[in-house]
Amino acid sequence: MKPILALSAVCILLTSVSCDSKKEAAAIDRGTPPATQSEAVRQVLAAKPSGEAVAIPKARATVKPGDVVTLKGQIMGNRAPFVEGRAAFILADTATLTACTEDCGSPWDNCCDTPEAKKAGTALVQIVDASGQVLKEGLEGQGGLAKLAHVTVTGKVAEGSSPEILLVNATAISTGK
Amino acid sequence: MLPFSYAVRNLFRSRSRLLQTVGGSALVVLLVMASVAINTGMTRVLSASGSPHNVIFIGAGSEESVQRSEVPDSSAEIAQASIPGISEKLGVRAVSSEIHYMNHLEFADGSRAQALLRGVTPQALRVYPDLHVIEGTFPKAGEVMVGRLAWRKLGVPAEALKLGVRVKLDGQSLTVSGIFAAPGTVLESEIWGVLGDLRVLSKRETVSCVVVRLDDPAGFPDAELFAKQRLDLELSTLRESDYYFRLTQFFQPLRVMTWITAGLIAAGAVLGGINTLYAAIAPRVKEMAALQAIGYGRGALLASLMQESILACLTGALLASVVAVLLLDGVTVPFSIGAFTLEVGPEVAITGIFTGLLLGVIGTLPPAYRCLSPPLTVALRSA
Amino acid sequence: MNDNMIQCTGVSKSYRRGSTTVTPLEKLDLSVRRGEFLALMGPSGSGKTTLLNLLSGIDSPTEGSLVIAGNELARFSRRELTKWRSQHVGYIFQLYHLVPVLSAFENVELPLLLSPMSKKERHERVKSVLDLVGLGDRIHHTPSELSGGQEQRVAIARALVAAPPLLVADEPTGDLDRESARKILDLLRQLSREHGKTIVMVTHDPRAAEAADRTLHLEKGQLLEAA
Repeated sequence: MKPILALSAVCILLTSVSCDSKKEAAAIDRGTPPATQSEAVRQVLAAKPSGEAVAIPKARATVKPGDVVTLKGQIMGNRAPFVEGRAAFILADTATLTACTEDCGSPWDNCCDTPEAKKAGTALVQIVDASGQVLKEGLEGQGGLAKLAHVTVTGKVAEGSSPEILLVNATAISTGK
Repeated sequence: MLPFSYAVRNLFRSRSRLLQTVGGSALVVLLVMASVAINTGMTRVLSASGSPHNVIFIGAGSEESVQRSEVPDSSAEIAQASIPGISEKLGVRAVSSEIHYMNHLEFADGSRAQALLRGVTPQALRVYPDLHVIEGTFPKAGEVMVGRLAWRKLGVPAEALKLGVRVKLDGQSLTVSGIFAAPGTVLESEIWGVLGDLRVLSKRETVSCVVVRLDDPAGFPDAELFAKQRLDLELSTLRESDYYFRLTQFFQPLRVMTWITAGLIAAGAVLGGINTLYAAIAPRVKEMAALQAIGYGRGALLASLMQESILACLTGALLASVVAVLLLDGVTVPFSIGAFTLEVGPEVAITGIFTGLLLGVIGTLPPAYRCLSPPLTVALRSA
Repeated sequence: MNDNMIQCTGVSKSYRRGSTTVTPLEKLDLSVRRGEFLALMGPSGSGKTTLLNLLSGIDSPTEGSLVIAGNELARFSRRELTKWRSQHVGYIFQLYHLVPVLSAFENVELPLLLSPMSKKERHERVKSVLDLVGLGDRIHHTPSELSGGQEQRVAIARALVAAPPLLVADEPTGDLDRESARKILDLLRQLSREHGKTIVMVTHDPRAAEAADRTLHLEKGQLLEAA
């Protein structure tokens, strides 16, 4: 009696295992934020932003590459405001954009705001090395940086910025309203 | 233990019942094998269709439907210049601007079928290195090349898409200039035309997506960084493998339905089988009681009944395997975005065998319980 | 060690039938000597089959002591009883209960498959027992190819083959014609006299009871000596 029950149990188990759909194309492992912070990132996160903060839409219209600017905003404006594996995130203007929690599963993608408002009210904040290359290190989870975090940034407007695109190489980042 | 020959000979007590049991289990096993083959075939073609080397830039918000996506025309040029690590051969970078368009194709005989058209440039061949033109040439203006399985997906005879045949799209005549193969992917079910032609036909000023091939899949963050540095282009970045993975999830309900249908039919067959087994075993209550009187325990009797049942069901499974190999193997099944080929491989076969085993074991239990559970005194007296 | 094969003391058997309790046997006492051929008679419903089931280890008494071949059966579990039966009892049914898909030879071999005998030993024993019952020439036929009398012989051979000390027979001649019945009874008597088997036979036929050494009547759960 017992051998039969054991055999049945084994059969049921093996059948269900082989019926399981094979693992579909696994997304390549997304890598967790580095356990060690690089010196450059640590410095930027420790430094205090200075100067009067300018609203992002205004900054886009007025600044030129090379200018020093201070921005204030929230990390949102995209389904994935952080770039995984790179020291960069999207900063959005809180006056013109709101993270709505009603309809959106992910409030930081501002699905309630129009694409034009998003374009006008966002900037990309990045931390670069001496040669101007963006550091190969993710920033999410470091120094309080998280989706929807309130952030103040001081930095230099990067090459390639225009009224349509605002890129800031940060020298100081602090979190909190 | 009762001799194995006892179990074998009992099977032949009633030829018609044996046929019923073997036939019923063959049906169930065939259904299970077909479901597994369909499931694995669909998953296989979708997972093979996406390469981890390729990055798709798609309009923000249109990640689920590439046809609705709008990407500025200039994106390809800008991406080419900005993203490090793009595959390059003989000075040509692997960057493909594409327009994905679904509409009805009209054939020479007047029939129509809904087709997936992709407008591309010759650079597309760099982005999809597993795709090869096997007959004819890459299309020029006014021409299209068709995937090897496109006729199957469209539900038209293969001759309708031969080289030189003319098809109509929105009133515009297009000649089939070539046939391409992209084994194991959904690309083989598509029809590819020239980007310029598709731009006119779909009345677009934007493209649907830009696909870039990276030398190293680990360079993906650079592509993502590019998209976020150019928020003005409103691009979303996806690995091609992730794009197809999402499509696999999209087809999950369909695959669940396949299983549910198979399960329902199988349940019916199993119940019928149990009924047959009841009919086979019930007249033997006294015989089994006599064996118990002699000194055989109920465990030994149950084992013998299982031997009988498993033997019949495994025979059915074997029959189903033969039918599956003859009828299912190699069959191409079309679905909404492509077509896949059924493969009756080891996974399917093993699942079939285990199903047969399981049927044999489970089918025995209710009738065996009914026959062996009454006390011996009652069983010996039974009519 | 006393000479009794069977010793029942105060044996009762009752069971539930729906909402009522039926007690076919009540505080029964019975002794059967080794090698004795006992006939049990009584009207239908008198409990003789119940008693037979108890004596052959197919059922357990509700009360009392039942010692057979030195074993106290009243305390045995179902599994122990099954094992005990295979070694100590040969059962002969009215309707033979042979396995139709097996030959006479294979039917007789069945009890031996429960023992550790080798194939050669088994085959020798089966042959000798079939010779004993007078069926040496029909051993490879299936039951459907045998007459009623021949089937009962096969059944007796099967009951004997494991050399049990006790044979229990439930109306062994009930389904046979007069001539075949006589031959079967002669065989049983021979087994008792020459081979020392203890036989308990239930029958409703007084002529069959004549073959036995002793006859007891079972009436309303009580045993009475025959006149």
